Amino acid sequence: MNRILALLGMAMLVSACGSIRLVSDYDEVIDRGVTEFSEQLSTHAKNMSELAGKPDGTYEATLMKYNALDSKIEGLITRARNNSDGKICKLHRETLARIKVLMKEQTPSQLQEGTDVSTATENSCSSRLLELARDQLSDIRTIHRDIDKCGPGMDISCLRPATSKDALAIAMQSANAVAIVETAKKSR
Amino acid sequence: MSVSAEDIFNKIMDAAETAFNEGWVVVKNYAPAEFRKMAVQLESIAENVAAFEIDKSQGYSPATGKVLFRMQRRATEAVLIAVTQLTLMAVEKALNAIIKVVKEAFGAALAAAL
Repeated sequence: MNRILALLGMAMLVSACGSIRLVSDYDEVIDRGVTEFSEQLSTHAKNMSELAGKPDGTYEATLMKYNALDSKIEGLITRARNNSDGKICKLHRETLARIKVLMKEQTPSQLQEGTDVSTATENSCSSRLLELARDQLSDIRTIHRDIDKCGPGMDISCLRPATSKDALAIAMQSANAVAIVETAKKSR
Repeated sequence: MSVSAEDIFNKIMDAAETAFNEGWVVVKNYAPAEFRKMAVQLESIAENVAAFEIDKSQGYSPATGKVLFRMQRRATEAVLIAVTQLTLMAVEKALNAIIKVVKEAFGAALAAAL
């Protein structure tokens, strides 16, 4: 009798323990949104590469495209932030230590070490990934507007072909980081 | 039906290993590929700045190279965060596989006892 009661107790304990979630649910809006962002950024960079030095390739001629891309990624950031309950993205000690070695004093203050990982902190990591993708776009805009120059007199704003190629490859790494996490969530 | 600790332990180990490995494969495929891309990009930045120094119509300026380097550091942060998330998902799969085994073990023992 005692044995059956013990088994019943264990069964109740185990059944009370539903499946564990360390990572938030798949978000189709973010997955689809970041894919569209990547496609549009890719098209923009390739267009700028071909139009470098021409009137259509100047920053002034394309700033509306930057604004559209910026609005798109900001919308996704807002969505991810709304799901994070004001929590911050917490990383494992070793991961954060590596980031600090790489980024030194520029390590974002938003990143902290923590063991209280939850879906809220994880949503904050999703938000952080999207912020990084937005910052990459901002840097491409800065190069286009203020740094790269083309034309006979090297006085026309542009994205040089070499710049477009490298900036796109780097920005895609950030956007892909969001996409691969969402894809992994979708397949579990 | 008796509840064998050894039997449950072996089932837990098998389930956890299989589930964790399924998630870990994603990390193992993703991380090295991204770290290789970083190395290629850093080499490309150095080459393009050098090309500009020789011929101003080629490559890009050191100022552009500096911004691209900053972007690469940011991409590194993104990859490391993604790796952390993927690892957590592998752990999550392993934990849930363990819970499933325990549920099945006690469910079977209970059915036999009743």
